[in-house]
Amino acid sequence: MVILIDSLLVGGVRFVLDKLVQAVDAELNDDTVLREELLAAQMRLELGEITEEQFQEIEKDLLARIREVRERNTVPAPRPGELKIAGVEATFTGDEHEK
Amino acid sequence: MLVVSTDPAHSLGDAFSRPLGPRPRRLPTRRGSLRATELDADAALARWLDQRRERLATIALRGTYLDREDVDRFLSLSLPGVDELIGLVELGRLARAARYDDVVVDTAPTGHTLRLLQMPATLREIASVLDDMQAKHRFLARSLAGSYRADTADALIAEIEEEAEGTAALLRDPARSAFSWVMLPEALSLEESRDGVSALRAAGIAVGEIVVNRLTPPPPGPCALCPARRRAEAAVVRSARTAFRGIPMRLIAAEETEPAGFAALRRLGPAVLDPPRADRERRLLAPARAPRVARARRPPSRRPAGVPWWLPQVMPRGRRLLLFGGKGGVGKTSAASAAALELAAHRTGKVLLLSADPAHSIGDALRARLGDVPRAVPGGSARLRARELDADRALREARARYRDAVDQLFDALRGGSHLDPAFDRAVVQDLIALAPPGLDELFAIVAVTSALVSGDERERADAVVLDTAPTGHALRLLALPDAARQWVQALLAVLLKYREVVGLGKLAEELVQMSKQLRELEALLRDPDRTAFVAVTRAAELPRRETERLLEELARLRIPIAGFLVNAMTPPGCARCRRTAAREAAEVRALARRARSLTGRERPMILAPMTAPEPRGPRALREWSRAWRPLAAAAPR
Repeated sequence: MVILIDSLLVGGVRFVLDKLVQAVDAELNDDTVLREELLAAQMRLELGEITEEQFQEIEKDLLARIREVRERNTVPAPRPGELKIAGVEATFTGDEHEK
Repeated sequence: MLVVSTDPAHSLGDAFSRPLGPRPRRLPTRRGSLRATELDADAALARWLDQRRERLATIALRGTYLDREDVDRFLSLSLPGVDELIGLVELGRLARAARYDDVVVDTAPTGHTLRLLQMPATLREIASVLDDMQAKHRFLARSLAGSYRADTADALIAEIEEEAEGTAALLRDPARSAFSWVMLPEALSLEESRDGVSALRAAGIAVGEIVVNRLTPPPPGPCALCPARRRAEAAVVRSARTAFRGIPMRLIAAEETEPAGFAALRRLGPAVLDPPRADRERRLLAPARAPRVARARRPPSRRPAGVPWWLPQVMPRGRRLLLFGGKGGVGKTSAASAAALELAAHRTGKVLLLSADPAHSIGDALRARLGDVPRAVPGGSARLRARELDADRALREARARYRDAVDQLFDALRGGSHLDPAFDRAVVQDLIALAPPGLDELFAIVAVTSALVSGDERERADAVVLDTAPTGHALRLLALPDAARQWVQALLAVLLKYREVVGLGKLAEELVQMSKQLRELEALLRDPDRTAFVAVTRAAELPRRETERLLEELARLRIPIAGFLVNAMTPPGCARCRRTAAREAAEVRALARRARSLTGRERPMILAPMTAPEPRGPRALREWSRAWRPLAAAAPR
C-alpha cells in the first residue's frame, strides 16, 4: 500500500516518464540533445527571453556541433524516442484548455 | 422587467437612444419598471474568476504537475471566446435573481447565439475536467486518511455543474422561457433561419414565434421598386410559413424611419406584442393596387465589361486578404461574394472566398452547394473557389487525432507496470473533449493562414476574400492571433521549465511553429499593402453607429480599412421611396464625415443599390456589383 501511494505521490505520469526518459536516453546520441538545445533556443526567442542576434549566435554554435556529431557518426541517429516524448504534449496541451 | 444584450457588438443603447453599460440602468416607463444592460463579457469573466481563483488554483495544483506560478500565469490569460460562456452564466444569474419578473434577451446574430446555447454542455465539460483533477486528490486522501470529506474545491465543481444544469433546464422549459426568432423577408435570411431554427429544435429549445420584420407596406403611389420588393417579400413569407409550419408567425411592417428612442419603440410595441391581426397581415402581403411602372433600368450593359471602378480601390495589386464585415443583415455575404467573383474574373491569380461566420450564407448567395473543402462555383470564374468553414468537423478531427495519441502514450507508459496513471489519463481525455468557445474564430484564422501561405500549390490562393461573422465576432476573430500567442507563450514557458522532466519533443516544435505563424498572421492583418477591411453597412442610424464603433475598434487593433460599402440604397420611386432616399443620402454624408475624422483620410465609399429580389447566384451578383456607384456620383440626387 505504502509503495503504491508513494509512487502516486511521486506522480503517476512523472514516475513513468522517468522510465521512459531513461529508455529513450539509451537510444539517443548527442545529435538529439543538441537539436533539443536548438529548439529550446527557438522557444526562448519566441518568448522574447533572447534577442534575434543572441539566437543566431546560439544557432551557429549548435549547428556547427551537430555537423561535428554527424561526421563522427556515420549511422544516422535513431529517433523512435522522439515519437514517444511527443505524447507528453497531451498532458500539457490539456493544461492549456482547462482555464 | 430587465432587458439584456448579449451581442458583443451591442445596439441596445442605440435602440433606446440611451448609453447603457454592464450595470442595469433604469429606463423611464409609464407603468412598471424597466432596466436595461449591455453585458461586458471580459469584466464578467474577471468578476467570476476573482470569486473562484483560489479554488480553481487549488484544483489545478492538486490535479496537474503545474506549480502555483504556472497556474497563476494561465489564470491571468484572456479567453478569446468568453462572450458566449459568460453570456450564458450571466443569463442564468439574472433569471434566477428574484429582482426581475421577466428578462428579455437581445442575442448575438445566429451563429454565435447557437454557440451560446451550446454552452451548458461546455460548462459541464469544464466541471468534468476539474472533477477529474480533483479525483486523484480524493483518492489519495481516502487512501491515506481512510475517508474523504468534500471541501470548497468540490463545492466549486458542484456549483459549475448546477449552473450548467439549471440554465440548460431553464432554456428548455417552455413554461419559463420563450425564443422568438427574428428574420428579414429576404431569401438569405430565410435560409439562415431554417438552419437556426432546426439547430434550436435539435438542442431541445422551442421557438415560440417567428417574427418577419421590415416588410414593405403598400406604396403610396406608382413605384419602380416597391411592388417588386413586396412580391419578393411575400414569396419569402410563403416559404417561411411552409418551413416553420406549426410555429406562430408575426409580420411587422417596415417603419418609414428606423424606430430609435422611446417614442418610436412605444409605437412599435403593439405590433410586437399584441396578437397578430389577420386583416393587417393580408393587407401587408397583398399585391399592389397601384399601376405597375416599368423599372427605370439602365440600358443593358454590354458584357463583358471592363474592370469595375471599385476593384483597384479596395484590392490594389499585391493585396492578398480582403475582409468584409458589419452588422448582421446588412449584406456582407452578398458584397463579399460579388467582390470575389469580380476579383477572380479580372485578376490572374487564384481567389478563395471563405466564410468565417458559423451561420454560413455564401452558398446561399452564390446558389452553390459548398462545404468545408474549397469548391469551384458554378457560373463563376475557374479561378474562384469557395469554402464554408466547418469548425465542428475540424474539432472532431483534431480530437480523434489527439485521443488516439493520448491512449497510445498512456498505454506505452503503462508498459509492464501494473500502475495505470488513470487519473492523468482521464484529465487529458476530458480536456481533449472540451470544446473551448471561440473555436470558430480559431479555425477561421488557421484557414486564412493556410490558404495564403500553404506549401501545397493546389491549396494556395493568391487572394482570400473573407466573409466574417457580424461585428462582435469579426472583431473577436481579428483579436485572436494576439490572444492565442499569449497562450502559446505560456505553454512554451511551462515546457521550458519542465524540460528536464518531460523533455521538449514534438509539442515544443509545434508550439514554436505556431508562435511564429501567429506573429506572421498579426503582421499580415496589420499590413495595409496586404490586408484591408471593407465595412459593410446600411444608410440608417443603428448600422451607422455600429460602423463607427467598428472603425474605432479596427483602429485599436491596427487593421487597415479599405473602404465602405453602403448597401440597399433606395432608388427614386414613389413618394415614400424618395423620402427614404433623401434620408439615406443624409446618413451616407454623416457616415462619410465620421469615417474621415476616424480614419484620418478619405476612403472609397461604395453605394450599392437595393434590388428586388435580392441578387442571388453569380450572374445576378455580378450584375448588382456593376451598379455599385462611388459616393460623389450618387449622393446628390
